[in-house]
Amino acid sequence: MTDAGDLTVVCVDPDATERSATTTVIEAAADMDAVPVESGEAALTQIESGDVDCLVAEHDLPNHTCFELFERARAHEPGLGCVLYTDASITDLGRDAGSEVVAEYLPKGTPESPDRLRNLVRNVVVNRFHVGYPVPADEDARLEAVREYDVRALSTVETFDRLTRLIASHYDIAVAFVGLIDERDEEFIACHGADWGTLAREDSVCTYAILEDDLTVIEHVQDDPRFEANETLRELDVRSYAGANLTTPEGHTVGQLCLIHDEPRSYTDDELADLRLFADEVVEQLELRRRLGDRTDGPLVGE
Amino acid sequence: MGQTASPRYDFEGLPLDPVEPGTSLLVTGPSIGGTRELCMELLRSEREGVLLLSADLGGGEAIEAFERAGVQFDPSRMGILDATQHGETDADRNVCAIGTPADLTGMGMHYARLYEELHGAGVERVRTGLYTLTTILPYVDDIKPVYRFLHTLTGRVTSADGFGVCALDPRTQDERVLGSLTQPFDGRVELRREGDGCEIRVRGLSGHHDDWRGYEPPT
Repeated sequence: MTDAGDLTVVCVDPDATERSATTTVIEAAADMDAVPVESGEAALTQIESGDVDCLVAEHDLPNHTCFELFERARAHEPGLGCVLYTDASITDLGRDAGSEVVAEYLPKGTPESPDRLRNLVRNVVVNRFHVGYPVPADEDARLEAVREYDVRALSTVETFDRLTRLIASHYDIAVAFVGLIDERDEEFIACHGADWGTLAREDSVCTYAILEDDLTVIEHVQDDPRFEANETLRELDVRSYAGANLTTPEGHTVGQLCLIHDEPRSYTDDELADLRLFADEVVEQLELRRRLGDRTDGPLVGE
Repeated sequence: MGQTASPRYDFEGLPLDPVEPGTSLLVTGPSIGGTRELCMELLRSEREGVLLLSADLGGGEAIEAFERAGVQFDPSRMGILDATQHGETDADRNVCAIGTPADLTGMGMHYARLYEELHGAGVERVRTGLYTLTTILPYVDDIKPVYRFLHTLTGRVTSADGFGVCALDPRTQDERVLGSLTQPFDGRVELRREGDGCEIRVRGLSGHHDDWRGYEPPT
């Protein structure tokens, strides 16, 4: 049975004996659960069906190598940790994917290999070796704060639907949204002007905006070298961006209140001052509902 | 985060206080005029492991640069990944050719291999250098793999109580890109030319001075 909080590690090896050995190595860690599979296709099915923290694969797989598997796996789960655990010499490894598939390498067969594999998997996941975006310094505490402001449990969505509608009208823009940034995705808890549910964190401008002190304005997103290769933003018609941090009283930025337009545009100082006020209102609403939620377990904070 | 029991990494002869194990620094300065020398001096150690990922200097040039910085190159505890276009592997000197600065896959894998080899040889403290990110960036279309690559380097440094340094010429980068590329690092060392010499200062590293101090690169 999988314990909550354990790392789920998919072990891919077409050789049954080797697969079993790798699985045993992973299962020997108290904080890891191994899912043995014999092919890349089976690994992808596993990744698509649930939360997987790390992929540990042999080099030669049926129909392709681990590199193609890593590339395809990250198309579905962008920040996935990928470890090549192999009998093959590093100089003999064939590559059937691009030159930008960053992965770890660990040879099998040394007395230390089992310990090193467990340590490596743990470090890859905990230290976020393979995420394709910048991560705030307070990330662990920030994610804890995001969980506290889970709006699905807080019945806040209707309030934010009204607010984003008013904001879009106020600025005469295409889209206004409130987005919370969790471990892997940005979740749009209210979005006026578009039907967006979630966006992979590595594709989201807000991922970069939460690193800034307060407001982020990008007048022409496609002119910003951080996003010029981002096809997702192009497809969503995100041409200009203005965002205000949603920062908790404890100082953790859980998300953004954003103004999106389908053509480049700028904002006056007064408009940005209003954006700050709107964002303050969102934070107040989130905080109020979080505290009301606490009442099921006890008195309001500060009572 | 580094364990407090492990000694700090020091930088003898440099105007820079020792740093905690697990620290990675971004060194920003002009490509010509002190940055290379500063990186090599930050990697200088008599006993610790040293791994250099070099996109600018071939293996032989990197060894010469180490020696100018006062480092006797010792292949038993030092290794070089030569990611220049015409690099050549030299197993005797622990130099491994990658073939191109564009090959983040190869650099990441061989870096992991060298790190594991050092660990297997009983080398517990490792200094990692990347010289330079400036050269790698034009080869990649998308910045996401660059973050994965940097997180891999700094993550290794963090989890193994190592020390890391990565060089970047800020004049070659958009300010917004520079700002976000700083994030994987614990702090930034800025280098500037001042008169006939250089000055450095530390930004973002708590407990460290942030005033400009004179730095004389080795010649």
